[in-house]
Amino acid sequence: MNSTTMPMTAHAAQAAARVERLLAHPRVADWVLLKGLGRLLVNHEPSAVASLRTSLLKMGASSLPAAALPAMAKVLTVTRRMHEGALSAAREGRPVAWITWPVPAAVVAAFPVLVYCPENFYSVANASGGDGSTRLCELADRHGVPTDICSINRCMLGAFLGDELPPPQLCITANHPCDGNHAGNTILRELAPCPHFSMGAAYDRSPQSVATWARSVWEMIAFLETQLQQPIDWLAVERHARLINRLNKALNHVTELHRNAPAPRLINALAVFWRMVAAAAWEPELADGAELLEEAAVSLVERARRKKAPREPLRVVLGDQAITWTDFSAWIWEEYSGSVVSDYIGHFCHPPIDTSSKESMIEGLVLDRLHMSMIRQSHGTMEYTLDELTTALSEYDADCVLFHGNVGCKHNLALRREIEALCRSIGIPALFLDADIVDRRLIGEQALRQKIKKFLADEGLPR
Amino acid sequence: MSATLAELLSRLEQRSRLELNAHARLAHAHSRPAVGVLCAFAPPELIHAAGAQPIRILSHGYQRAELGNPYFAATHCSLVRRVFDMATSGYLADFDGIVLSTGCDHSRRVYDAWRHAECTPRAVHLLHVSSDSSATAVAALEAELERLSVFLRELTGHKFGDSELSRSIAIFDRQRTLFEAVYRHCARLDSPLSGQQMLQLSLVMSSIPVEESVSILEALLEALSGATAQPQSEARRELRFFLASGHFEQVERMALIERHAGRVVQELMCTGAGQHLGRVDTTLPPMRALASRSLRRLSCPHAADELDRRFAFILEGVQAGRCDGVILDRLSFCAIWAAEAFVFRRRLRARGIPVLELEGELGSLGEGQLRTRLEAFAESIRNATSTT
Repeated sequence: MNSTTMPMTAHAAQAAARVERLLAHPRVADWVLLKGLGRLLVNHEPSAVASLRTSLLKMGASSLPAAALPAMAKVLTVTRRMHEGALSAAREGRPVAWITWPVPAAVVAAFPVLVYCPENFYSVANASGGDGSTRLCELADRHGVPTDICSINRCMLGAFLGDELPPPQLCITANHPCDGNHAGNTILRELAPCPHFSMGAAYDRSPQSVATWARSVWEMIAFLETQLQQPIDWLAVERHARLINRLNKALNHVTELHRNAPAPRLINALAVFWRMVAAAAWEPELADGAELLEEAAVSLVERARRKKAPREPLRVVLGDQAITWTDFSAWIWEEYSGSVVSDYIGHFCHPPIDTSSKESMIEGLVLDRLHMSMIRQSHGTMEYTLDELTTALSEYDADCVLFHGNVGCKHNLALRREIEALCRSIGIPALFLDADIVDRRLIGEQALRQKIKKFLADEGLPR
Repeated sequence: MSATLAELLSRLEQRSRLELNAHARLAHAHSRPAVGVLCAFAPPELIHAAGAQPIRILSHGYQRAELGNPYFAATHCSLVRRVFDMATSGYLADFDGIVLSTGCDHSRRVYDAWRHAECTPRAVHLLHVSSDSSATAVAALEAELERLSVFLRELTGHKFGDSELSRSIAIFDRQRTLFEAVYRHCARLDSPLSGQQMLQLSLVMSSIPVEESVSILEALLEALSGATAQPQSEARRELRFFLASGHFEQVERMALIERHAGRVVQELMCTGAGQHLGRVDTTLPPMRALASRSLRRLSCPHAADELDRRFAFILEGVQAGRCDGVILDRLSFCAIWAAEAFVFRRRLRARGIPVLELEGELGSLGEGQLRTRLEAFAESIRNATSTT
């Protein structure tokens, strides 16, 4: 395989490199990228820079404070390296291990193999234009992938069928936390011509479930050692765990700082980190970037306090999975001077990993993965979702909550009645958008914005 | 005097029409608490050992889903929406307890909604089931079954230990052995049993006391020993199919398939062979053995790593039943089964086995469309055969 068979990844690598170069000069980047292009792209989609639009909106575009740019530069470095690694591994035939989100990837990364998370491909696809993930869903449709499967997984399968993924030597999947993952992985294992390991699912975060999951990880280690003919590098596992602890500590704090009014407006930055955490949480630059983001958040909160900055007129909670092909933060900022103060994805609340023994590290890495956004809310009983939402609505001083209402997400759809009741009881208006978060064919950006506008007007928001 | 086959099948047909709540009332009439089970992950032996009667939750005879609609979207499985309607309307009030599982998103969210809505019965238990069948998963399910035992003991007030459990395992294994004999008989070219009758048998077996189903199976096997179907000439031969499905409970749908495509002679359904085949490994401690069977029995695509074994079973069935093709039929919106069907379809086509993929919702047969597809499928097989 050569790199031309992975055009989306090649494009994403080039785009990441360009933005990374620009971010090396934060002041210029602030003017050109955020205040200039970022502001323009909120309401326009010029074809010349269409491929940059989604990536910029995801970073927050004009709503992202300049103080966050050094942190973003670090994430971009890891992103570029991940894309380039995938391209070169495909070109040179180096071993690649596919993993899915819930797999404690830091353990796999302690083997001499490139860790690649195909589930993340929607973000690669959308880095080549806002309809990249939609095109991959269409491709999956054409190959008979059932539309009952969540579009995140259909997009991943479309990427495979379109030769957009580096060929795997191993495939490690966890049929967790939802049917979408389970179904997508079933097809992925069938299509990927390599040995695969399927991890079981811990339903909740009880000590018994965590112990079960940890035993599954020990089985995975045995599988990897057999397949790669190499023992696991425990020093690397420890190094990874320590880096993840640094990363989590910083990003947990950034999340918490959004309780402040005004908030530091770094939710998008957190979500950008989340995407890389899935695939490369152990990269030192990511921990460095997280600490830079924490510094930025602290200074933004301090500055607002010093200046006695008023509360935003609109504080929004995003209550479920983000739409991958667009983003509302910059638009809410431009249109209403409002902030997103809490987000299903960009919400870090990870426990520390105990690095005192191999066993405690494995359990800690398991628990860390179970606390990763998407996985954290998707498993267990409805209280896992409702309790977190209650905290976000009541403690982050929210004015309203928007639910993208991903039509493919069966477990979230089944909570709608309870969520509506919860929002009513707290007195926070809620809007369900009924979008598809990966497949743009269902409803477009303008229609979604119209719905939000109408909802806010009906609710008398902003105050 | 033993009953004739026709009499037995007629009784089965009538019995299969009995509504779900009637089974619960019958259990009470025999002084047994009734425990409803939505998926086959919960071993019936455990419920039986607790002095209760396990009854699989089926929705035939129950047409509504409106009360379930506020809790579940139109894209949720129609079984779940109906079951939730039953729970909120009081239809299940004669049940003493319900056991649900984490087998799929639909099923696990029923448990959530159940706790928050005005549902009856109030006693509901969620069984955590891993999505593979590794040793770790079996050990985890064993611990879960201990938790289920506690729930059942509290529900029935009946203490039971390993000896009671072993006795229950023995009677259910007897039922499985007899069912297997009937199932194998079905594969024969001269078997008089239709897919429709086999489905009726399976549905009845999952609703009545196991002791009674053993008697029915023994009588059926005796009646079958002398009964054969009319031989058919090769030119007018009825087509024969393997049906793979999940929760398949619509006898009318099976009748439609057999009327417009051909006879279903072998199957793998969560409500059929998948539930009733596969004995418990009695060399293991009882709880471990039950956990192992729950994950490694044939039917549920939830056990992801068992897919190859399920597919091998289909191939064996196609060969044993001299099937002309395979019909994959699933409930709409079931992502897990949709993925399984995707894999089966690819593999069957690669082997040159004709395959038809259907989907539908409980309660809406869509007869016209279904008929067209079935006839077209049958026609394509006949054309291919005649060309060959």
